[in-house]
Amino acid sequence: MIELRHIYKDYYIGDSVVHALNDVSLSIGDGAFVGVVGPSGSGKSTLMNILGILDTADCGEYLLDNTSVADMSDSELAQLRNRNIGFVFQNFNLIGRMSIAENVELPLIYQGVKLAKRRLMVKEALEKVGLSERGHHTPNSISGGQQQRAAIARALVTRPSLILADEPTGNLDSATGTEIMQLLHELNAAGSTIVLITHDHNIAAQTGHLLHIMDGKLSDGGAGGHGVSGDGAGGHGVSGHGAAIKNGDACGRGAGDGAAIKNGDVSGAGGHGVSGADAGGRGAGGADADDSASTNNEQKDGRQ
Amino acid sequence: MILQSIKMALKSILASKMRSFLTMLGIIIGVMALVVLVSLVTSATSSVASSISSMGNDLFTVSIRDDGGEPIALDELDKLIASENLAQAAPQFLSSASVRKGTSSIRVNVIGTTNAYFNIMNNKLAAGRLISLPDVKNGTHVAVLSNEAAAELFENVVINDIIGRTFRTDDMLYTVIGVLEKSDSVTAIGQQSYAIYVPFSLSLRLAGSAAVTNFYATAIDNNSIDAAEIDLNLALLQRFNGNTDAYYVQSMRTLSETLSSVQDTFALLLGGIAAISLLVGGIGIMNIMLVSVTERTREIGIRKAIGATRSSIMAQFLLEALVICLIGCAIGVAASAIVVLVVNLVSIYGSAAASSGSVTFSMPYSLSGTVVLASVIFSTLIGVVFGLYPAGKAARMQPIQALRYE
Repeated sequence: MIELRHIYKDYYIGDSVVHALNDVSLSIGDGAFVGVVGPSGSGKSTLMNILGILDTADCGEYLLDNTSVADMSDSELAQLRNRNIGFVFQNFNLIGRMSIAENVELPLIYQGVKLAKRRLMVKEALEKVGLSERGHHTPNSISGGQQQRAAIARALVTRPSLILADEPTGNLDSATGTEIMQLLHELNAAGSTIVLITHDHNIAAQTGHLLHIMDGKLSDGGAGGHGVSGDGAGGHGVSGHGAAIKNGDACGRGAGDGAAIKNGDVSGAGGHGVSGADAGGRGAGGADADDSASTNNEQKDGRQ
Repeated sequence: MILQSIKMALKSILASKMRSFLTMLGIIIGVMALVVLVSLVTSATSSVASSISSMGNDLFTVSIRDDGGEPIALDELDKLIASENLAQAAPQFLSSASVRKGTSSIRVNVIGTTNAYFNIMNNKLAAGRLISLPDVKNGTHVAVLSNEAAAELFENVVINDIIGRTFRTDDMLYTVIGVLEKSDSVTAIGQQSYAIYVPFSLSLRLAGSAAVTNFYATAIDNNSIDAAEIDLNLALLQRFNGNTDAYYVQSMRTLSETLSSVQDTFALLLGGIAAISLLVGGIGIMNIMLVSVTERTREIGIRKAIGATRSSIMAQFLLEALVICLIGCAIGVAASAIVVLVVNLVSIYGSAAASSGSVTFSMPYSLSGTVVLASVIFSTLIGVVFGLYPAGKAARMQPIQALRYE
């Protein structure tokens, strides 16, 4: 179970602020296959980084298996990544001078799994992705599709509760891409929760549930167009979150951050994912927008 | 976990062998400089020091520079060492002569002295007898030969058969009365190995002199060396009516102390220079580690993404630096051992060619255990100190920035 509540993330480029994530809330049930689709610059990579705890939100709450990651130390986060999350990257990100088997073994080493058990788990994972014969090869000596399979094996070897795939087919030809998608579906059918981030609508359409991201805002596209797997949409469901949590609590800065503009955004976007109650709360907060805004700036400075 | 990290470190060192070797080279050369230089200096000076101390720290050498018209006679020596802190005294008169042997002649050092000399110098008899009191009184033409001189003058003659044989110098015929055992203390004070000992009075007569210009004295034991030195000085001062320039007393203990302090200074100096080169090697390691960290930024990002903690990244790079240093140190020590062996062989071969006599295959130089240990400790320190910064840099990397790095 993955839950994001009112996540904000800003980037500062010179003097200008980019709202990479702007009040993003979502919850993903176990066993779902969720696609997040958006053009480049929409904030999807930031979402992926937050979901993968590679980055922390400016404010908002992230519950991974009912544990808040907010106050965790660096090494606790690393352990959480290690145990609960498996990454699949666009460019595979295998370590070049290690063999496929060693790459797959690495997360288990960091987990402190004993050698004999490690061997077994690596073998199992490689079998699952159909690379049993390639364990001793180096990444450079196998094809891109096989490399991505190896990366998937590395992601699932620790049996994480979430597999995060960031454009997993982006560097592959469409036939190989389809194979990889097939593999992800197989894994999903076997019980893995998968979040797939892509800019490709065709790929995204193959997921069980689709979320659109645009300018840092998330909106719920409902079940995937082709409904390849209805599983996610049906049983566990994904919902844009609109719980009326008091805005000030969730994020100290939100209240002052020009609530009026936010309201406009929400209505413009069709009200997806952000509840009226929430928006209302912001409006009220906007009364003393100037004061809060200055406080807000100070806080930002402090964070930098 | 540590074992895994060491494995990882070895793997990445082996992944770029040439670079690793070049990085190690700084440590290898530094360790070699340290171990070889300090070992050689320590061996060389300690052999001198040990032969000096084999003569005993309780020895004083007195030279008379200016007797002011009142030369010291032989029987005055007993008066000069009358103090209870002083044990014995023996005069020494050095001259040289050529001994005829067939058609050629051999240079020998003729040492005129008394019976006490052999006692003071710890010279043992191999055969025959020593110079006696009557010999000195009468100035008889007898000689005690050092072992080396005996071997040279009477080649292929059993030592016992040498006793009673005669040999001739330019102006004198001597009868051999005794042969000494081999001793290494003789060379230490700069005397040639071909030494022959004759009655003191005889050597004086040959030189046309009548005075004691050099003599040795010993303290009664090692605890009374200071008191003995004072007493000896007092006696001499009295004898020369307060003229302190008339004589010079040198204590063997002072000499050996000076020598060992010179040795320490030398070892420290050379060790310091070598340590600097080791330090430079360390900086090289830091440089390469920094390059390596930058080069492997993406790898660090990947490792962090799949669950490496700061400390495991830290450990990985620190161990890499440490392993490079220790492998370098091991190679350096091994190379030093070879160099010391070569120096040994060269010096043995050299001395064998020079003396062409019997060669003893003892190694004059040896690897100093202390300095090997020191170089291991130093290398470890360098690995840690110079690995710390790059490893810290790697550990502090943010996973997303690292993953994004091209």
